[in-house]
Amino acid sequence: MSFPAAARRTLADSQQRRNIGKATSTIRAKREVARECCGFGGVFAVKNADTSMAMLSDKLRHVLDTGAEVCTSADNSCLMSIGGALRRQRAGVRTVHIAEILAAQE
Amino acid sequence: MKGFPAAAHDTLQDAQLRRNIGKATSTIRAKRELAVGEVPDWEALRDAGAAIKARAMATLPEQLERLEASVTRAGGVVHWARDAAEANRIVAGIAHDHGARELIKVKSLATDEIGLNTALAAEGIDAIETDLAELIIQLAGEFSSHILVPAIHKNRAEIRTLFERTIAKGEHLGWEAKDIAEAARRHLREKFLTVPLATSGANFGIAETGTICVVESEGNGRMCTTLPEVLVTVMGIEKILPEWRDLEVFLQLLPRSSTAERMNPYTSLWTGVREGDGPKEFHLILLDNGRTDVLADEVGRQALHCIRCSACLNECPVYTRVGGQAYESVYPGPIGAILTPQLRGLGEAPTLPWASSLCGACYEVCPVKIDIPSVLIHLRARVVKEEKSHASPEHLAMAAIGKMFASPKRYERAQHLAKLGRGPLGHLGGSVPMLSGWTAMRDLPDIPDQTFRDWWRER
Repeated sequence: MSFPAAARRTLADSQQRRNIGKATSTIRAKREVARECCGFGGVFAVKNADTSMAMLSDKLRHVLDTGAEVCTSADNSCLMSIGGALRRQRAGVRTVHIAEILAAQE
Repeated sequence: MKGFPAAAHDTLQDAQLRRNIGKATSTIRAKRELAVGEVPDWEALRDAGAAIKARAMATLPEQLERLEASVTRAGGVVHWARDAAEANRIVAGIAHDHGARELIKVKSLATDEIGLNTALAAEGIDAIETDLAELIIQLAGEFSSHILVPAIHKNRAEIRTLFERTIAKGEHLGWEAKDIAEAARRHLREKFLTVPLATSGANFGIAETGTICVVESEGNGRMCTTLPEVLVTVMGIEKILPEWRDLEVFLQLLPRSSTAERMNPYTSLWTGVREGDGPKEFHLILLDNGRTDVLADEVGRQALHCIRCSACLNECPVYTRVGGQAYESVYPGPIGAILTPQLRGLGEAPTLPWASSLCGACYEVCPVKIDIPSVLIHLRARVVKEEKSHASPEHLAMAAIGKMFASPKRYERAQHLAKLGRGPLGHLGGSVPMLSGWTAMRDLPDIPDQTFRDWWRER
């Protein structure tokens, strides 16, 4: 479970965060690692591509270190960025939006 | 100035620097979280800190005049400096009056900001840094990379080699940190005891009493503020606190946020001069250097609340990768990205407001709750409005995307066009030259067969 960036700002209510955490209580990365920004940030990834890639490289390493098959987040943009890099590397890890997991549990 | 993207491109190549900074900041991050967690009313303290600073800034002219009166009453001399050149001239003048060829310095960002050391060198006066990390930077002829730990990008072996080339020439220093520090201690002790003139910055200046406060960890500041005959303090006007009682809040917020200590080892407070105790002459230089311009911006002015703790640097995923030198300013990291363009003028540092992914980690840890992400977005808008051409491809693309996102109908139409490979979203699947930074490491997603809205309607 990745809990980065904009997701933290928009989900200010910690009860919301806990609910989502409960619903996805499978494999979770260490908090320090999970909450660090993946380096997308909209135009940031284009205007500061080198810095963005340095951040994303670390994020990918942390994702792969968990050994998880699925990486999820509440933020679609983060998933697009992380997912795009996982695909490029053919890492065998899928990205799934948290809403898809919640919908599957209905 | 190269601009942030180019400067960051350079610093990112230095693997040693990235390792040094990454290691140091992750240690301090963990410690800060523990130190802050111990305080049950931390959030209330942050609110109090923000409120005191807001009051100080709203009543700044009145507070500065109160400070001037109380410092003068206590036997100090107050000078007003509009900009860096004026402040440097005042310090050089005081040095000349006393025939001083050397001057010892307490670590101070304000004096770094105005380039005091270079200005004094041009006048034949040697400014000696006495903070260990500042000394390292000075000896190496480099620029600081962190507000609090300027030599954070250097490791022990690099510092040992540097000392053996400079202050401990011909000696072989041990490998232990204390052996290396001992060389600096011997070098500095002699300066403390012989140089008659010192400069400092100010963490806080209290209008009510005329008291100046410097907090530090090494004790070099205490030496500089007590041993010399003459002390000159350069204080940014935003460092003012209206009342003595305000200090209590900041002496709790600052150490825990910056060094993760419950209390910093040395807190020096002085009020004017006193017969037989400390310097015989005290000068306070009140420095504007762009600060009143910052105050005029209703959104950006909160940058002036900063107490220079550096928690936002340590927390920032951008800073911890690129280091301080990529920001090309005395003030690096998230706070630098909002302070530098405002102090120098947007045209002087137009790339800095974009030096952030807006993740918000800086805002979460700021002890005085400066909403850095909001100020960054505000400054981006100002740069676009005031500095950029409105005919650039970027501006036109943004305008088109803005229109598309403005109404749900238009957005939906764009989504359907995208499936046919047309419209603003349709280029996602192909290669878009403007996005080359994105595609260097990532594949673009396929356009899904069904949009979320269509799926939702079918349920």
